[in-house]
Amino acid sequence: MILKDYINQNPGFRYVVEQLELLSGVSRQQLLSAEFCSDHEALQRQWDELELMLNAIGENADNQSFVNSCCCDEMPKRSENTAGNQTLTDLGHALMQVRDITTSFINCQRSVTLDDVQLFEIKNFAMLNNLIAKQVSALGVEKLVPLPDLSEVVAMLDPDRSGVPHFYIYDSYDPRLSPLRKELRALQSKTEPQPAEEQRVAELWQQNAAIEDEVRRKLSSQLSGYAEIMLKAMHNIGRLDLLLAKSKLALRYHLCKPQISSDMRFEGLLNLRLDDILSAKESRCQPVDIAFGKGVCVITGANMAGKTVLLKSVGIALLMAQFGFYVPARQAFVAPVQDVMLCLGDEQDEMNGLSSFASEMLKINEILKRAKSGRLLVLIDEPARTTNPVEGMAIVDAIVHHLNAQDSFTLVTTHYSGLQSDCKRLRVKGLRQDLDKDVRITPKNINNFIDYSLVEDVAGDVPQEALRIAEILDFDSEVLASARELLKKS
Amino acid sequence: MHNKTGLLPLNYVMPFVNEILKHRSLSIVGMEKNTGKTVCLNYILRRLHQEGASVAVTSIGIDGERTDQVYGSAKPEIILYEGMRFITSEKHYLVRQLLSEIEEIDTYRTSLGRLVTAKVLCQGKILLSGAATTDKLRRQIAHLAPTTDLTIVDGALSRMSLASPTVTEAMILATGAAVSPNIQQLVQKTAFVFDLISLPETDAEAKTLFADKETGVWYSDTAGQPHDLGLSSALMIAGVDGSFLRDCNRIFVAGVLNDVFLKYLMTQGKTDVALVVKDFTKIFVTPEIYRSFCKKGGRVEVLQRSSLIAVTVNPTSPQGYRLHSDDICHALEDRLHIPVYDVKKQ
Repeated sequence: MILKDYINQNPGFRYVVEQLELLSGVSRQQLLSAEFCSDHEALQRQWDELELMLNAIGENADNQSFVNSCCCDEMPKRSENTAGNQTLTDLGHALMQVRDITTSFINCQRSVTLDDVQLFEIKNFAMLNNLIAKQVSALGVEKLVPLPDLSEVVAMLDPDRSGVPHFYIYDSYDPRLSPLRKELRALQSKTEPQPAEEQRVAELWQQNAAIEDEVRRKLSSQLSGYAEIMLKAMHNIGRLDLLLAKSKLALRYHLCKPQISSDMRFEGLLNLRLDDILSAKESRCQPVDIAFGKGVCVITGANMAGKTVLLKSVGIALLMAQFGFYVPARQAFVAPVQDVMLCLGDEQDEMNGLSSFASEMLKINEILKRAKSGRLLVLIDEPARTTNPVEGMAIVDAIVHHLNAQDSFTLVTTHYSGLQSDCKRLRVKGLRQDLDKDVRITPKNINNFIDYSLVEDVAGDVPQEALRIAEILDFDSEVLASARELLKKS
Repeated sequence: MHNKTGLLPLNYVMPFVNEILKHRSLSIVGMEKNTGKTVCLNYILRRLHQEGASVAVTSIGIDGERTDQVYGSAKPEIILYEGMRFITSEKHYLVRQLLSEIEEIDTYRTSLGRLVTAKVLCQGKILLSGAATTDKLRRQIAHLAPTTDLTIVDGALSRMSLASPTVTEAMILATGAAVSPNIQQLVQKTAFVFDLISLPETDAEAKTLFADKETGVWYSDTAGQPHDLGLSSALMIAGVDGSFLRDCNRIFVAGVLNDVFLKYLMTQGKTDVALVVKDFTKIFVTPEIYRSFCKKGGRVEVLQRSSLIAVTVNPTSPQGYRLHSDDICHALEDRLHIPVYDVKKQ
């Protein structure tokens, strides 16, 4: 699958991708059509490339002012504008002007005669390429993003060496043009032209057009030899733009370079979207450590303990890693998989006449099928929660038992106690126990009193905090009292 | 005698060219197709060339067709002179009959391709086509402004929106036999548009009250406080309780003003308020309703008034019908009290 498919089905990952600040018109397509990469070597190469770019940026500029200038929050002050910073700013401006002109290059390759608009575009591109190449070597990343020298193309399209990215069929292309155009100008400036002169004007225009066509044909055939190099240059400029955008993202969110491992381990894992939302409210997301191996890891925890967010965060982090991004954690060890499959139980499909239970079962069925033939990251949030607890628990137990024997990495969250399967169990700590009696917890501040960190769970009992949380949320006290009574009796 | 290229003889002088140069942008709007916009534009361009002004030309939508799109009759092409800049679509750029240098290509796409900005190196003929929206047009004019004295926008069909003072500072209204073969009707129809263009600007107090209101219908009470009627469009006024009118001295319609609104005020018997709109291009009322609103004491004011530089006339209709030039000009001058120029004067 390509990146476009994943952002369509995963809003959290889409959010991350949307944070990329692409400048040129050639990188978006490259980004969207990027393959989900599970090849260890290729992945390592992608992360190494990003590291090289980040190092180059680090050596050339004060990171913070670069990130600031990228975020447009505040323009870097003049005094901070070091030489290296200037290179990055100039590079940004140059990249912003690059447009996708693949069609012109392909026409050029096929020796189609190019029109003035296409010649203008090619001239512009060649000039920008040379400018970018200069800045790329100033940054010291010319090996990472090799760009050709297109001076010959520029010379062809700028015969008067004006250095201006404008274009027309210049007089100097053909010795016949200058005298012809001179005569044309003289005749046209007459206010009351004679019929014979008008006739001559028409003739001259025709001759001019014929010579111009000849020049265009000649230019096009000369340029066709450069089409492939220019296509490649455009591709590399897109890569450069992407690498810069990923670097900016890594700097802005303090992302870390993942390492390949046989197990999954994230230290200080964050959910960028949630963290951004909380930051706006002057709060922060609590980083979580999580480690799990092949087979199933069951996660329990009270309501509001952030189990669903945790599943989503793990999914997003692995997607980021396998699309060559750095990941939002202090440290990350990843075991590359062939696909990330989520079942969050929120895909109720009433339009197709399916209940939430039915669509959930179909989704899990698809996962089970896929897990037989490949290694996946499977994330299932509270399976069978919408059916009766007796059958529900049996279903969960069976799913866990089955997936535990597979090659995939699976995280399952649940509220069911007493699962029989022999698998790893983690529990979110939940509502802090050490709170003072006089602390007032409200629905607004409850997040401050929850410890989102995970502990190894040996007993397998799920915490029973539903009533307490309902109480904090100001649930009807009479109903709550009856619930407590009923619980005591049973 | 105008020659084959549609040029007017130089000894026929429309004296408004100096007036044009006092503005940074100008639109030429026709009441109908074939009201002589292009002839008028060609005249202005030639005069401006003689004046040595730096000029840029573009259009809204498709125009400058070699033959008229509706009637298939021959149309004069637009003639641009050395040094002038123009914006046209890719497709029309490639069939130009002049020598020009491409300066810029916009990423904005029209049905005829992207927009090309170029500078004329040797005079000749061009087909103009431009941005499809007034918003894009406004941005283009702003983009050209630093390097041009005057940007001229050639109107398409009978679109008035580009003459909004928020788009172009000044305008020329082109009318003619295409509007009606009956001189009396032609005068009436033109006078109605002329009256709307000439609506007075509202006072400073109302301007500060309403200038920042982008949507809805607002009124100010006798104490000068603005209130939102909570309507998304003036069309929804019909169901509103009229009691607010008791303590109301101005009504501001941020969007389009229509018949429904005028009728409402007349039914409520409240025509002594100042009805304010952004500019005349926001008024879409029928002459009959408007006239009866005015007769009952109603008045419409604008936040921003357009600067009308001239009214021009094409006495020939696309069906070949030809009115007497002097008759139309005099009839219009009598009614409008401003000079009216025949663009095809013999």
